[in-house]
Amino acid sequence: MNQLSPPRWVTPLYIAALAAALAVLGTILFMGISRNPWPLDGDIADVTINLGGTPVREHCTSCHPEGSTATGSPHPDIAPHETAELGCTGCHLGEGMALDLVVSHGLPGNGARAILKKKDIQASCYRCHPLQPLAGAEKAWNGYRLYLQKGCDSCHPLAGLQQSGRYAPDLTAVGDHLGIDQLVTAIREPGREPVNSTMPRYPLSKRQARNIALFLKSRTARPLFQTPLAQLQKKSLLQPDDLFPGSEQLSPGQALLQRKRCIACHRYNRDDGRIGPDLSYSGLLRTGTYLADFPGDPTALIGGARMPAIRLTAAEQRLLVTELRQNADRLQQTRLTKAVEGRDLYMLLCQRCHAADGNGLGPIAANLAQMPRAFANNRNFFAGKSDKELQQSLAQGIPGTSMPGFARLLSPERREMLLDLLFKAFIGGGRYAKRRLPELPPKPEFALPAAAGQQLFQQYCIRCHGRSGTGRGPDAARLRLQPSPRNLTNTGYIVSRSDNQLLRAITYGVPGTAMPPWLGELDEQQIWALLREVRRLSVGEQP
Amino acid sequence: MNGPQRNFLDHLHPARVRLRSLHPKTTLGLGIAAMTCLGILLITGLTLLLYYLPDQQRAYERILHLTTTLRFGTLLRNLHYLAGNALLILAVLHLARVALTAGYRGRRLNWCYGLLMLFLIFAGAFTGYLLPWDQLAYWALKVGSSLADYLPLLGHPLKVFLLGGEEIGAETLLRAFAIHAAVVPCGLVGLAGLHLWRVRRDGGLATPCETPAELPARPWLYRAEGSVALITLTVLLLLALWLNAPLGERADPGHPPNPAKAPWYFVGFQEMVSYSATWGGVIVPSLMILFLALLPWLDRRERGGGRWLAPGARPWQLLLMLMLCSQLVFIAIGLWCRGPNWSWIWPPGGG
Repeated sequence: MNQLSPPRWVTPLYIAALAAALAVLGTILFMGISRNPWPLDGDIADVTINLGGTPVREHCTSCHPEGSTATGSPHPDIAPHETAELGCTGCHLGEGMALDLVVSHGLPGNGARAILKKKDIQASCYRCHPLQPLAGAEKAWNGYRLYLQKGCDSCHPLAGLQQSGRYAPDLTAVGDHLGIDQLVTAIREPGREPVNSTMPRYPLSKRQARNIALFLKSRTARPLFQTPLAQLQKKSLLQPDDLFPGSEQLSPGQALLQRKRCIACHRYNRDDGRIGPDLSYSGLLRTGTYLADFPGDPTALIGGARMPAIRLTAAEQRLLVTELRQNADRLQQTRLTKAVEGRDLYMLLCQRCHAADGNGLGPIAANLAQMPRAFANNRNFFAGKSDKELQQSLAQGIPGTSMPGFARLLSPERREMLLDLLFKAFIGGGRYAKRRLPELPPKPEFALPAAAGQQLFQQYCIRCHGRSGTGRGPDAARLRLQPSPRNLTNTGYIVSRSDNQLLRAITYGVPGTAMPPWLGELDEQQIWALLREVRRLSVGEQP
Repeated sequence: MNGPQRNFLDHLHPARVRLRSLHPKTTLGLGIAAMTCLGILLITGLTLLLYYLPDQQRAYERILHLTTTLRFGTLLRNLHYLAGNALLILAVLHLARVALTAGYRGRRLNWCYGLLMLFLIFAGAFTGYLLPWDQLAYWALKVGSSLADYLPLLGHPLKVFLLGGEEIGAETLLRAFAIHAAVVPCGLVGLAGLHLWRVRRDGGLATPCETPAELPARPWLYRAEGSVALITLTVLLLLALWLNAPLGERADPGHPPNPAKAPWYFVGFQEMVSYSATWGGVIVPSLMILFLALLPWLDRRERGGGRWLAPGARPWQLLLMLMLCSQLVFIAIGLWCRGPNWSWIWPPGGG
C-alpha cells in the first residue's frame, strides 16, 4: 500500500482551532457569570398580578421598588387604587417582561406600549372608568369633549357612541395601536401617513390635540378590570349634557347646526371651524332642495366632496333650510349693504376659497373636492373664456363644485363690480381683451369604437386622472399638481359642460393647469373618442 | 493503524481517506460547517424551547424575558439566529460547491436529499422568523406568504397550510412553532443522517480518479473535521457577541411598516415580483427550482466528478452561478435600495 506522510497542517490547525474555541467559550462564560446582565444590583422582581382575570407578569419593581421613580422619589398616593393590586403595566404600559432600559419602556415606532408618565397617566383612567368627569383625568375628559365638539365622531366610528360616521378608520381600539405622540401627530398632520388621507387639518392647538390623544389612548379592545357584564353595561358612552356651553340661548336652527357638528368645520356668522365653506350666506346661494339634500349625501352634489353624510330628519331639514335662508336674508340686508366696494365683497364672499391674493389657495382650498380657480397669474385661462361664460359662472355657479351661484345674493351691478375687480386686482390685461380661440376638430364621419376610447384613456390620461378617472392618478400626488387633475367622475360638473368646452380642453389644454394640448399627439378621431370616454366615465356607465 | 477502541463516529467515517479529501481546497469544509451549525441550532433551540410559548399574547413577552433577564439569554438567541442564517448560507454554498465540482455525478439520490434539506432549512428559517411575533416577523411573514401565492398550483395550498388559514393568526403561530420545533429538526436530522450515510456508501468524497485511499481516517480526518467545526463555532460565538438578533415592536396587524420586507433570503423574490408578478413570481422561481432539481440529470455524465469546473458540466455550472449571483444582486437591491412604497433609493441605505 502506498503509505503517504500525513499532511503537516492538520494537527496545528486542529490545536489552534481548539484553543480559539476554548478561549472564546471560556471568556464568554466568565464574562456572563461575573457580570450581572441587568442594570441594577439585586434580584429580579417577578410579580404576577391578576388584572381582570388575566394574569400579567412583570419585572418592573426590579428597578422601581414599590413604584418609585428612577430618581428614587416614591409613587404618589393613588388611593383607592393600590399598586400591589394593580401592578404597573396596567396603567403605565411598557413591557413588563423586559428588563432593559430601552425595551421595557416601550420601543419607539407606533408607540403602542410606550410608557405613560406623570400627566399622561390619565390616558389610562378611562380604560376602566366610565366616561364622566374624573378627578385627575381632566385633560382626557377635555379631550373627549373636544372629540365630540370638533365632530371627530362625524367621520370616525367609535364603539359606544350612539351615532358615528363610517368614513374614517375605526378608533374603538386605537389606544392598543398607537402611542400618545403618534396620536398627536396623526391629529395635527393627517397627510403625513398615509399620504392620501382625506382628513382635514383641524385648527387645534398642540394642547388640544394632546388632550384628544389622551382620550383616544384610553380606547382599547380589552379594558382591564372589567367583567364582560360591566363592559356590556358601559357599552354606550355617555355624551356630556353640557357639550356646548351656552347652547340654551341659541335659536332652534342655530342649535341644530351646532348639534349636527356643522360648525365644527363650516363657518356660520361668528363661529368658524376653518375647514369647510361659509354657511352664513348659503341660504341665498343654494336652492332649498339643494340645502336639504346636501348633508345626507354630499358627494351626489359635489363629486369627491370630503364632507361625511349627516343624517337629518325631514323636520330637521326644514329647520336647517329656514335657518340658513333667514340668516342669509338678514346678512343681505345688513352686512352686505355695508360692503360698498368690490374689494369688501371679495373678502366677504370669495377669499375663503380663492384666497385674499387671488392665487386660489384660500384657507379652506385644500379641503375642497376641486381646487378653486386661481385668478392671479392666470390671464391665459380667463382670456380664453368669453365674458358671458364668466358672468354665467358667477351668477349660476359651477355645477358639481363648491362654487355657488350669486344671482340671488348679489344684484347684477354688484356682480359686474366683482368681475371688474377680479380683472383689475388679479387677472390683469383688461376684462374684454380676449384671445381668438382656434378651431375645434370637426366631428369625424366614422367614430372610433368605444373600446378604442377606453384604450386611449388608459394610454394617455390615467397618469394624472387615474385609472377610473377620479383625478387621483399617480402623477397627481407625485408631482403635487395644482390645481389637482379634474375628477372626471363628477357627474354634475361634466354633464354641465358642453361638448365644445370639453373638446377645447382636450384639444388645446387648459391654461394655468397641468392639462396639456393633445392635438399634435392625437388626431381628430381619437380626440372625439376620448370625449366619448369622458362622458361615459362621468355618468359611471359600464363599458 | 486503528486502535482496538472504536466508537460510533467510526461508522460515519471510512477507515482510510485520500490525501486529497483532507485538503481544504477540495470541499472548503462547507458541509462540516453546515453540520456544526445544525448542531448549534439543535442545542440552542432546545434551550429556547424551555422559555418560549406559542401564544399570540405571550410569545413576545417571553422573548423579552428571555433576552433581557436571563443570563446568556441574549447570547443564546443571537447564536440561534446567527447559526440559522449561517446554515442557510452554508447550505447554498455547499450546493454550489457540489455543483461546481460536479460532485453529483453518480450520486443523484444524495443530491436530492441535499435539496430536500435545503427546502427544510428554508422552512425552518422562515417559520423561526415569525416566532417572536413582533412587527418585523409579522410583516415579513405576511409578505413572504403572499409571495407563495404567486407560485402556480402549489402556491396557494402551501400558503394556507403554512398559515393555518387565509390570514396570519393564532393558528399560524402554533403551526409555525410546530414546523419549526418539531418537523424541521426531525426532518433535518433524519435527512442529514441519510445524506452522510450516502456519502459513505458512495465511497467517500467524489474523486476524479480511482486512486486508493492512502491515509488512516483516524486521527487525520477527525482532526480536519474538528478544525472546521471548532472554527465555525468560534466565529459564530464571536459574531453572537456583536450582532443582536433583531426584535421590533409587538406585532400590529393594522399598522404595516413601509416598506414591509420579506426575510432577507426572500427579498430577492420580492424584488423580482416588483418588476413582474408573472415572470418574477411564477416563471423564474419555477424554472430555478426545476433547474436545481434536474441538474444531475441535465449533466448526463456518470463519472469524473470531484474536480472543480469538471469538463462536460460547465454550461450548467455557469447557469447556476448566474442564477445565484443574480439572486444576490436582487437581494442586495431589495434590502438596501428600496424605500417606502418600494421606491428606488440611492445611495443604498440612505433616504
